[in-house]
Amino acid sequence: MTNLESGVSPLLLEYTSETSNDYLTHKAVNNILDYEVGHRLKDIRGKFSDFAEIDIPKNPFKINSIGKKGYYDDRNYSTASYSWIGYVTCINKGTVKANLRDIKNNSTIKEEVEFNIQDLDNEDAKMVEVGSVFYWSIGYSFRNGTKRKESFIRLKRLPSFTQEQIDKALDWAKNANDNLNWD
Amino acid sequence: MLQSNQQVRTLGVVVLGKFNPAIIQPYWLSGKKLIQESEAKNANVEIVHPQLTRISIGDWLFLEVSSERFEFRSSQEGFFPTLQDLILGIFKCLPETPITGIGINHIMHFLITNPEKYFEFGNRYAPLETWQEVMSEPRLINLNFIENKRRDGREGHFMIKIEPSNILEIKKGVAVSVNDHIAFGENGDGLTLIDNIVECWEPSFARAAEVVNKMSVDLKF
Repeated sequence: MTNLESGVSPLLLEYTSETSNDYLTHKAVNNILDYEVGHRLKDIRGKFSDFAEIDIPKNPFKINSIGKKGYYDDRNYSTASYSWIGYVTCINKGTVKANLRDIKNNSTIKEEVEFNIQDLDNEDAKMVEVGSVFYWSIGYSFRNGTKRKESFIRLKRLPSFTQEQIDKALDWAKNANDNLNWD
Repeated sequence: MLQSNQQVRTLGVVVLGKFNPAIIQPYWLSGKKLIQESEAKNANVEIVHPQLTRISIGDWLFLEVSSERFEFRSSQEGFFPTLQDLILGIFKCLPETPITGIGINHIMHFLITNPEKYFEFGNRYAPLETWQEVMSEPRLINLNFIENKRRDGREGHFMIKIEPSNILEIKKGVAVSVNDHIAFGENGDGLTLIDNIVECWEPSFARAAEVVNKMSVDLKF
């Protein structure tokens, strides 16, 4: 099968004649971002196994400017007077019960708290369930010279484990158990 | 206590290795459930390009990725644990990324309204009378200290920098930067990074606090 038959565009073919895989990947991604994202990415992934995992939707962004300083401004900052990490123990009629641990002072004391589910962002409110881990911070925010008291709760976000990672962990646990020597 | 004079605290995490900047986009992050979808939608995208990506997520995160450097920065103290999760999450998704080292940088800006205390910040660590024979009213611009052999035995270095703050009022602001750099060598990858972040994150914060405590005692705050 030729490259054209496999659905790779002529534009991409031009770059496949280069020798450096990194260069190929970059150029190809550049063109994909300018044109289509979907099936061409799959073609590239098949061709270059060292290409990082990618499954982004079509890029909706435009380049605005390239300056030395980005949009981010350290002058708009916030302080955390109190910070906790918590996990949800019960959700009932819009009320969330949770256990907290003070991470600002590295405390081991467990505190209990109740809050309204509406204290969460809409997206977090949809995701929250018993066992969810969250951060709660109370402090002051400074935006454009204005100081405000601020409190926010945010769910902890980590990608779920893959089956391979779970298998690896189970293997490790089995191995550790098998090699455990009791005195 | 010097700590009570702290105004802005910025956390910068710089990861060194080989990266593909073009894939680090807001929707890639939300697709991996690492940020909220609304944050991806409202992200400020300055540039997404094969050589450089520079984006801000809400007001809590600045990201800049080039082919050899991946920088995370936040001045929202309440989001520092979230920033740690984001780094762990990204490299959990990209475990085979070659990584040679990481720098956890704490930049703390202190407001010093007392001119004598402000003067002492430099004078205590680099006595200015040393220069009075050859300079008229010498003043310190910045000071850098480095620990080349890390006391925790890891490869890398530890640096402290003291200089006037570029954020706070002139002659009233002092910035203390702590650069905690851990080198992995050529065999490091995303998983090496994850292990080191998990193990070194809290000790790094503790050591930055130790530096400020020491200065607080030295300068009699």
